[in-house]
Amino acid sequence: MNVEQFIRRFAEQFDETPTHDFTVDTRFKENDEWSSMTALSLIAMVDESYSVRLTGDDIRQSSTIKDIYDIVSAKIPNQQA
Amino acid sequence: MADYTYNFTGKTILVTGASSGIGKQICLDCAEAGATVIMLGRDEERLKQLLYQLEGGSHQVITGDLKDEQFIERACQGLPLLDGVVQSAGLMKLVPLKFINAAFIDEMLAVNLRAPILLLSALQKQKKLKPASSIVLLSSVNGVAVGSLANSVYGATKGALQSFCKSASLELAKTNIRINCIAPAMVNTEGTAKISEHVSAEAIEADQKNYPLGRYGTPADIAGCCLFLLSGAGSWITGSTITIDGGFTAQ
Repeated sequence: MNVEQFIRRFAEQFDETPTHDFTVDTRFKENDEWSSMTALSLIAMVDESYSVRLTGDDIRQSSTIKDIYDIVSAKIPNQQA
Repeated sequence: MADYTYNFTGKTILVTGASSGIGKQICLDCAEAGATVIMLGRDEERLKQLLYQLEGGSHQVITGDLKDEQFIERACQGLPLLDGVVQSAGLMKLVPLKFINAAFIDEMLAVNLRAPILLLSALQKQKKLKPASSIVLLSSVNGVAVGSLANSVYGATKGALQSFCKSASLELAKTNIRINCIAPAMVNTEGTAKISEHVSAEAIEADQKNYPLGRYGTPADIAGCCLFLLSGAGSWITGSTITIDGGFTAQ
C-alpha cells in the first residue's frame, strides 16, 4: 500500500479542493467540503481500491489522512506491495 | 362478511428473505396467527433455528439463491397451494454515483427486482396461488417518495417494484388475487445494522430525530401491516403501496 497513492485517491473524493492541498497530516474534517457524502465516498473508495471495509466509527476516530491510512493498512489481510 | 380477524389457521404463506429482519418477524407473526409458513432464504442454519421458534408444526424451509432462475422454478414446483406470498428478500448497499459499476447494478437488480418478478411469474405459471390469495412486496420509501445519499441504485430497484405491482395487480385481479407493496422508511434490522456501520452512532441518533414519531421502525411495525394485507381485512386493496415511515414522508 502506497501512501502517496492513498492520499491521491483520498483527495479525489473532494470535488473542489485541489489534490496538492492534501498531505498525510491534513485534518480532512476541517475541510469545508467534508460531509456525510464525502465519508460515503471515502468508504466506497477504500472498498474498491483496497477491498477493506471502513466503518463510520473508523472515520469518527480519525482526524488526519494518516489516521485513515493506518486503519486501512491494518485491515488489509495480505499486505500488498 | 369479510373475515377481519387475523386468524390464519389453514392458510399457507410463503416468505422470502425469511432468515432475518422483517422477513423473520413476518414468519413469526404468521405462525402465531395459525398459518403454515414456508420460509425461503439462503442461510439454512438460521432458517432451521427460526423453524424451531415458530408456533405449530408443519412449517417448511427451502434454501437457495433467488438470483438463480432455475432454483426459483424448482422451488415453486415443490410448493403446496398458497394463500399468501411475502417477498422480503432484498439487498441494500450504499454506493455513491461515481463508484457504481455494472456488476453492482446487476446484483441489486437480480435480488431486489428480478427475483420477486420471476418468483411471482413461476407461481402463476405453475398455478400455485389460490384464488383470493395476497402477495406483498417489500419496497421502500426510498426511490419513489424520497431519495437518500449513495442509495440511488437501491432506490431504483425498490421504486421499480411499485411500478411492477401496478400492472401485475391488473392481471392477478381476474382470479381475485391481490398484490401490494409496503414502503417502509428506515427499519432496524441485521441488514441495516451493517449499513449503519458506515455512519457514526451520533449520526444515527440525530437521524432518528428526523422522524416525527421519533424513532426508526422495528420489524414488528412492518409485519403488522403485512399481516393486514394478507388477511381478509385487506380484501379490496390491490395495486397499492402502503407507506410505513413514522411520518418521515409527511414532512
